[in-house]
Amino acid sequence: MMLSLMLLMFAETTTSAEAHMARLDAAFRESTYQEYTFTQTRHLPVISRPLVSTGRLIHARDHGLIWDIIEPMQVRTRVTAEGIFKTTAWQDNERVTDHQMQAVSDLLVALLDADRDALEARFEVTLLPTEPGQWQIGLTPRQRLFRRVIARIELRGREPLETQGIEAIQIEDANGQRTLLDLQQRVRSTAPLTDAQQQLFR
Amino acid sequence: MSRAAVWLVLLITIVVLALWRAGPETLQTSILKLLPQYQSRTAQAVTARVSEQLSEQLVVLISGSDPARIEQDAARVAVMLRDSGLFAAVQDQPDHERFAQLARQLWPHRHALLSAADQQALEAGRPMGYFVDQGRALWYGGSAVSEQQLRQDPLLLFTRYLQSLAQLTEARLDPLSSQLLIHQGGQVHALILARLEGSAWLPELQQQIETLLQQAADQLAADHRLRSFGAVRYAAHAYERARWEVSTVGLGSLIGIMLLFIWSFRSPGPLVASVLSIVLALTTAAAVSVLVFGQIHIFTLVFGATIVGISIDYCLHFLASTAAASPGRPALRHILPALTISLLSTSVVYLGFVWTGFAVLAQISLFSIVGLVVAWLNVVLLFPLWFKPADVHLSPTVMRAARRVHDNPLARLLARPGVMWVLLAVLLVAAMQIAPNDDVRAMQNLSDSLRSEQADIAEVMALPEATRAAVILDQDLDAALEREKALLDHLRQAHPEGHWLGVSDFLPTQSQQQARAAFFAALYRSPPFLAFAQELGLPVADLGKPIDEDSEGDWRLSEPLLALLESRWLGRIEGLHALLLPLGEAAVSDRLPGQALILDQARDTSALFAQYRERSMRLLAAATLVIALMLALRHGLIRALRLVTLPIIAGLVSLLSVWAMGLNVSLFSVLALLLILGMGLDYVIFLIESSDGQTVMSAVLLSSITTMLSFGLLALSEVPVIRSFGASVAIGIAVIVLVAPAISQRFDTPAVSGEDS
Repeated sequence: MMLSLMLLMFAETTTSAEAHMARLDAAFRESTYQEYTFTQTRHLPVISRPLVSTGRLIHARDHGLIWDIIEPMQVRTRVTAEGIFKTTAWQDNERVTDHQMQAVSDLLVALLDADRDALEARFEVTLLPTEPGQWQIGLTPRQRLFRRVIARIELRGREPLETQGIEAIQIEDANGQRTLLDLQQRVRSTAPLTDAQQQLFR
Repeated sequence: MSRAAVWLVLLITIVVLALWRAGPETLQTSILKLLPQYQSRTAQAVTARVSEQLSEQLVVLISGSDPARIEQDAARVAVMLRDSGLFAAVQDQPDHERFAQLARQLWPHRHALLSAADQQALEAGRPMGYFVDQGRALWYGGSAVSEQQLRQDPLLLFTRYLQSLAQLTEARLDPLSSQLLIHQGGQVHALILARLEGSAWLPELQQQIETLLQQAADQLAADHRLRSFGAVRYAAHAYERARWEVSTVGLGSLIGIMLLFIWSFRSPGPLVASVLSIVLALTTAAAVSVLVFGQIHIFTLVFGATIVGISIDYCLHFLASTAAASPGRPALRHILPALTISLLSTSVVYLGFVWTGFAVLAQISLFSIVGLVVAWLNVVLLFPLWFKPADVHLSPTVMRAARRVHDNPLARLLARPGVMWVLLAVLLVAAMQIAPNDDVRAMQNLSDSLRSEQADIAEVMALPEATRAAVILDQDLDAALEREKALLDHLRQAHPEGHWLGVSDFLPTQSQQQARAAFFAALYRSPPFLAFAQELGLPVADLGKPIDEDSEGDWRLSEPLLALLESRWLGRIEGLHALLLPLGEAAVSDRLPGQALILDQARDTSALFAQYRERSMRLLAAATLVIALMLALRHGLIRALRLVTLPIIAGLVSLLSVWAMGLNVSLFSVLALLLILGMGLDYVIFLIESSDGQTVMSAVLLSSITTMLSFGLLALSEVPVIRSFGASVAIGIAVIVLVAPAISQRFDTPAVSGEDS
């Protein structure tokens, strides 16, 4: 009797979306450096072929974010406290004065970090049904204005999420365009940044 | 009797006429109206337009740490502001609708528009591949694209143009918030931008806004803070201070005068008569100013109230000499010459200021002259009806004090031959050392708390200090844009650290429009673009064809675009297109390409103040010379020179003391000199014209005490310039009372020595 009650309670907590967020948050809170390779697939209703790009994503706590598109062309976007800089084949470190870009990168950092407070402030968090051994969380913007840009976001991964982390982010915008970001974690460390890692952000 | 009646009827008529003419805006409180006018009408018009724009704005900032709660509070405050009916517009949310409307309006002209970055790339000769790659990066990045864009703006150049418009606001707004939210160092600030419905200089509106802001602040959560800035808040504060100071100075001098009169004359009659005379003088002066100028500035009232000091002189001289006169012999005949000469000489001094070209000085002059004439007429026409020699008694204490002041060592020293001239020479040499400070910022009293609120908000909003600006004026919009572009190109090269943005970055000239249409046509036929289109499977057939534009008027003058550029595009001023480019703090030279007009209101106003100071100083010197010549007709040249030298000595001592005390010497010090000279002349003329030195000295002493009292009170003002003015006059009067007897000891020895024995 006692045991079944406990099991029930356990089941209750583990299946709730908040609990998943809490576990993710706890798992990522300590990480100082994360490096992923990504494949991004954009489905635009207006063109038949999806746009596929691949590259590397680096996030270092207190340093910033690097979004490196490698294929089909090279664009490195560096977001730091000093601003947003873009490096392409045409020019190095061109300052980007796009406030929208800053907001998008803030959101991306919050997602990668599974920053529970930041996400729950902006989104309604729901746990979505999925296959055993996997998890899927849906984020719906709370603000009407935000919903005009982004309809919903889904985070996906495998259990145990503490070690597997987030494996895919799917963003659906209000025009029905879908962007799927498949992430493969390469490095996740809780140690202070190495010189080489710090160098990336200078 | 009948003359007096006519006089009273005339006074009442003037006041009634003025009241009939007066409206709600008769009392001017705008600080801008105080500023001297630019010589050039266009510069004046540009400054007026910019000031008007600025003075209508009120920025409210609500700060805290939790975005959601700040948003709620900001929305609530915005509703309060909107419901108050005091504002023509209140913006607390990003205006996406207006932006979307602008995008729709500009869309047909997309082949004429390029972002500043793209235009610069084009000018730098970037190949077509560059523009294709820029677009491609956006496609593969995360930009949302519509079908329309895909088909007609596949490289998203128009999107880039629209995004560049966001650079016009430096503030980094949170694009996901429904409010105007700024995140900064752990703090969240919500911004509310309001535009006043009425003039910021209406005291009534100022009070309502102050109350409203207070109510709004009270409604916030305890850990939230409301700050605001706008000309209306400074104006409200300045008006409150000025009102307080006028009433304090007025009340202070009135109480002082009352006590002094009752104590000196031991009866209420002289007091009532003098107060009535002064009230009549001030009311009539204000009424005539309203009739002549259509309005009266609060500053005129502050400075004009100082004629109380001179008009009370007239009353005191009449009363003192009535007290000394034997029954049956009217006192007026004795003092009439002195009264009249005094009025004429003081009026000559004031009259000079009508021609400084500085409107407020002209108002003060007229106010003062009218007030003095009325005070003079009151004493000449009304006082003899009221007071007979037997009715007035002067306290013996006052007489004794007057004799002691009269015989003070300084006056005796100055009475010795040559001493006066030596002293004058020494003081003149010393006065050469005075460094005037005409900086208008050192004269104002911008409240510290308001100033720090403004600084905080400017920091959050990343506003540049808009003290200097370049203005380009041209009949032809294209020429204006071209000239601005030349200026921008120069600034970007000479000061690459600056964030330079002009109207020409957003509005193309007609030749630019043609060049860009050609560029777009070439771009969409270029191999890099065709390869990219193939990669995506884009249809290219329709691209690059000229767009059908409805050619009704100039699309560049459309309302939403004008509104967005409003801080830089001033519209038409005197028929010229006026573009304004803030220069910020950059050390930009005054000689700029594009024949830009540099406006720096603080600097320009200070320069004008300096110019007016010099001009008024020369006028004052000229007026002194005229008075000396006037007096020479009656007293001979040497004596006349001695007469004017004593007030000049007092003025110089006062100027030097004020400067030594670290107070400002500026145009307003010349005003102080003017008063010292006016009253000083008054004193010496009475002393020399009268046969009864002791009686006159009693009147002079009483009058100087009342004057020092009222100006001593002005020295407590919060406004540095008024503080300096008050201290200067009080010191000058103290000195003139001590040195003036030098003239009568020399020329009036029998009477004084007779009493001494």
